[in-house]
Amino acid sequence: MCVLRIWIGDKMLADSLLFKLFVFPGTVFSLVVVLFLFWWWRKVGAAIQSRYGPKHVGPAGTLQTIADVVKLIAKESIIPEKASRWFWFMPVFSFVLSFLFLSLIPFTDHWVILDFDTSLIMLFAVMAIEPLLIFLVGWASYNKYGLAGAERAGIQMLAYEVFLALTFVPIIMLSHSWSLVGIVYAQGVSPTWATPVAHTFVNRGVWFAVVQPLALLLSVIAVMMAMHIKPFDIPDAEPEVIYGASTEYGGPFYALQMLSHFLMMFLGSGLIVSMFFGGWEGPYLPHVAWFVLKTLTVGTTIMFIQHSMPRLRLSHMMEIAWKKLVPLAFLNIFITLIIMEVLGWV
Amino acid sequence: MGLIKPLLYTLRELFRKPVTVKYPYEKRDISPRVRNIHTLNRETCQHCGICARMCPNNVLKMKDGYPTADYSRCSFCGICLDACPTGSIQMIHTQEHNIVRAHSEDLYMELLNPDGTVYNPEVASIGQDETNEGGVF
Repeated sequence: MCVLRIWIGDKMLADSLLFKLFVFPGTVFSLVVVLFLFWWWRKVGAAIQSRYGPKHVGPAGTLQTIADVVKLIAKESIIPEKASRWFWFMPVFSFVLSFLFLSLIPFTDHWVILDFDTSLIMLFAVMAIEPLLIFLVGWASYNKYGLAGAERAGIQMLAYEVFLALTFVPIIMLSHSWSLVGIVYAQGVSPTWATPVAHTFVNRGVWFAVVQPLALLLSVIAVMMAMHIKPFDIPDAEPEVIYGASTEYGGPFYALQMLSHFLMMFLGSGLIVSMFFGGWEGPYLPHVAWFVLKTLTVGTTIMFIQHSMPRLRLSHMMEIAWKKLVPLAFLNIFITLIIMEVLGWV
Repeated sequence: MGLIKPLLYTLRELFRKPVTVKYPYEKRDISPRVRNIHTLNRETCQHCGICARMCPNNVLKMKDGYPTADYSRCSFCGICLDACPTGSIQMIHTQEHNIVRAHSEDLYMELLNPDGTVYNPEVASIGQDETNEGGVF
């Protein structure tokens, strides 16, 4: 850890933005997490299907993902003849975008790259760009499956974006904060506010998962829809549209897409942890360890649901999203408003 | 409830031992009643060639008066056993159905002796392999 104590000007290396961007929680750490998560995803899926999963490369197959990524990078990347010249640009940009998402997720109140008062709005913006990018990916590749998958991704984006935003409204009302760090503070005993703030929910040491179970359910569904995870993997359903928007991408592009998919999966779980499970708060262990542990637990739950569910049809997904989940999100807002009014937490 | 049921099922599967057998490292016992490789009693063989004519896949071919087998095509149906007038061809139980070779011509083999030993070690045979080091199963 003595590397962290190197001073640059009047700042320690560990405090500098460069360290946060490139080492922790930036590039190096997130790549390690993504490789681990890929392996873990395979292991969980294998265990559910009564298999062993990867077990030859490295101890218990842990190096299998590294081997796969090396293999994919070594492969030739074929660009279709009629594809747009921006073909190569899209997966790279989506990888960059997932790093933008990463910069908004607070690992602790110190280990967050971008922290400002309205980071939730920024986060919605980033989550809204991602499907647009998928649409461009499908369009750029000049492939009918790509375009069909892109169309489905767009439809799915419209379906989840609305109730995801509505789901977070009660949390924002309760925590009096638009920033993820503030929301985490509101759930625990924060260093700045030692006592509960009068006439609010803030700082009573209760997780939002306890007081907002409906919002938790809705946001888990929304995150699964956003990451195209199993009951909602309509945009890249293999039997229907071969790999959806990224059908034409192979080799290094495919590796990039898989890495950004798993990074988004980790960050989606991290978002749920920050919103509902008290973020980095926890006894005995360091804060970062708590955050990563909670995130991996939520991620494992999502993987578990993923491997248990069959895929929904597009129309069913839209029916569930627009006719059931959006009204539920509204209902949740009203219930929260009434309870806040009754308890005088305004 | 319809959502919970599959989740409970997969949760049970999650903590169960995998059904997969790590094959080359871990071998599962096969049923003792399995008869999975031919033997030929060369003392009682009449060299009639009925087995070779009856074989539906043309697996057996007569060579030097005795049937030899091309295991790349054998379906282990056992018609050659029924056809043999003296009962010289039999099938015995082995622990492993090990008839994988790198080249298909290596699967053209002499039949084993009735006690499961290799008839002619000079020629490729079913019990003979680098992995088995010439032993019989």
